[in-house]
Amino acid sequence: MAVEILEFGDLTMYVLRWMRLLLVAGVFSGPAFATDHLQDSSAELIRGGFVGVGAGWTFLNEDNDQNPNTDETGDRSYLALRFEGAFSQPLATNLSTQLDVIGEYFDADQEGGNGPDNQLATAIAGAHISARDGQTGLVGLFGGLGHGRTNDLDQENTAIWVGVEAQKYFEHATLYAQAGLAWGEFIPLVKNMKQQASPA
Amino acid sequence: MGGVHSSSEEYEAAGFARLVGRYFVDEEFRLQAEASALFTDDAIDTQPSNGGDDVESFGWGLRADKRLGNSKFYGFAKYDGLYIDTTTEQKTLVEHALKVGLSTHFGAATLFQQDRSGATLDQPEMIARTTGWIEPLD
Repeated sequence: MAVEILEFGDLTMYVLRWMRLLLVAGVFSGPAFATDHLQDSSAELIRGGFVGVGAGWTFLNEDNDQNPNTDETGDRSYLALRFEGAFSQPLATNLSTQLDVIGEYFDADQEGGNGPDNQLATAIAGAHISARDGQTGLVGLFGGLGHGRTNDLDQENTAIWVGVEAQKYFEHATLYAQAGLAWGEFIPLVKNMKQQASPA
Repeated sequence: MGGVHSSSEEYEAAGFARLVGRYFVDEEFRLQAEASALFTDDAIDTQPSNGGDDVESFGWGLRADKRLGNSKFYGFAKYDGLYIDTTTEQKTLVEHALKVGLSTHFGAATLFQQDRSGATLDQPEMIARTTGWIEPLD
């Protein structure tokens, strides 16, 4: 069989032709979107949520431009475990609250650098209160607390954050934005608070 | 951005922002992409003699959730990236995390209905991840 050498224009035409065939075949369209049903149901806020577990792999690289020989973390890859959960509770016709819990644990395997093997565990708890119109979007306030432990879990850091959030709903898409302020142990405010709370 | 003052240092809160886009291929198949950023002053070596190091952190991610057949379970796959720059400390850290998992949902009939009427909100996880890694970077 002769091998055809395709020029860029020919290749483009082939790709467009195949995309059109796939669209006609419904490959990209998926199951029908029951928009009318969803528009009816989305008018009312729902009590519910989800829980999930996951596992995977994390790749980490640290560069120390000032002194490359003192990297504490170096290049690592490590096992990652995850738990996530959320629960939403309507408070009024267009007002609801949501609680979030997220936990992750990473078991590091040192491949480089001069530091010890490491673990990182993070736990997050958060809450939201929001006003929502299921047809158009959502506006609300949220806050969270995150706790992280590193270096064989001996070092701990805590952060808190508050912010505003908004969602805009489109037919098949959602745009979601959050912005706010965070205070952490890595930020002096919390360090100062802990020093003041500690006995002399 | 407002600051909290003490007798020895000026403490400022870290500003953060996060943008998420979700696309529903169908009612039970959700694709998500996100980007986030956090900036803080004097986050490391905060004693006046050290001058303090600013920290910049950027996060990005992709996630797909899909119902597994007609079961009550959803499979998900997610990728999270994180970049932390300690600026004057001259240390950077890059993290790439790949995870797969299972979840089960209650209340809403579909992922799409959950998005519009149920537990649709989440947290900017990069803040906690930055917090966790900042101590080894000092």
